[in-house]
Amino acid sequence: MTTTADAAAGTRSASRGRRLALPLAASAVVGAATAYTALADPYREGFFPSCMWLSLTGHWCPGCGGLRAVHELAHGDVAAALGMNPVVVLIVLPLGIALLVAWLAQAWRGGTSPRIPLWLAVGVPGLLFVFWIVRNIPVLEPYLAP
Amino acid sequence: MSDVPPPPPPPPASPPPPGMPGMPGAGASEEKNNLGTIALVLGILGLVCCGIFTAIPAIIVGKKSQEAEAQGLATNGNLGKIGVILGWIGVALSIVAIILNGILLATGSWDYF
Repeated sequence: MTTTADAAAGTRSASRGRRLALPLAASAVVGAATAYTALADPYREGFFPSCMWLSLTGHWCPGCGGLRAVHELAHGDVAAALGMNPVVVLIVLPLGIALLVAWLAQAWRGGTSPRIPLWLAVGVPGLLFVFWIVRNIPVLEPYLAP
Repeated sequence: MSDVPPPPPPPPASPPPPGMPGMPGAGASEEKNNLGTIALVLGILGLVCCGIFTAIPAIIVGKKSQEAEAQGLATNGNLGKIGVILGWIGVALSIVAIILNGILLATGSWDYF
């Protein structure tokens, strides 16, 4: 009991700078990766390691086209980004950014970690599975595959 | 029929308010709730791009998250559980893909698209 209370007090009393170190480092990594993806050309072969699923099976994975989508977004071309991977652009990226912001806010305030509702934790992977199947159906490939 | 009113229903079981020293597993502390979130993110990354490279960490971190909930240090072991499940799915699909690829290469029927 006391250990729990002490630990909670300890978490709260850690200095703001120390709490912020990890989320700031993560933000810096994400920022640098985004800048690299924006500057480099993900359409070119060999700039990035190619998708494991695609090279193993020849089928698109739910994230295929995601880097090209980020590249297009960074260049302001939303339509091209949506054409590459609508789920990454509309769902994965916003949620990822929201999670990062929530993490930073938590470190700033010193409260508890962001709560992820269960429906979201089940729904997002479920949506990804559906997208995985649907974008590999030949009829829909022109719309959903990169 | 008697005039005795039925006994009041028992109060619904609710987790104790945060900060209250509590029983293990009752959600007393959210100290290690980050584990569940990390496990979920790793599990999703395992599906979206990274295969076993994040699926295996998702299983490990997800298990730690469930342990933390059992010890009363986290309240979101269910996220950890989802991370573990997604991790195993990622590992299983990776293994199937690798075996399939091996068969296709071995039989020479590798047909890209």
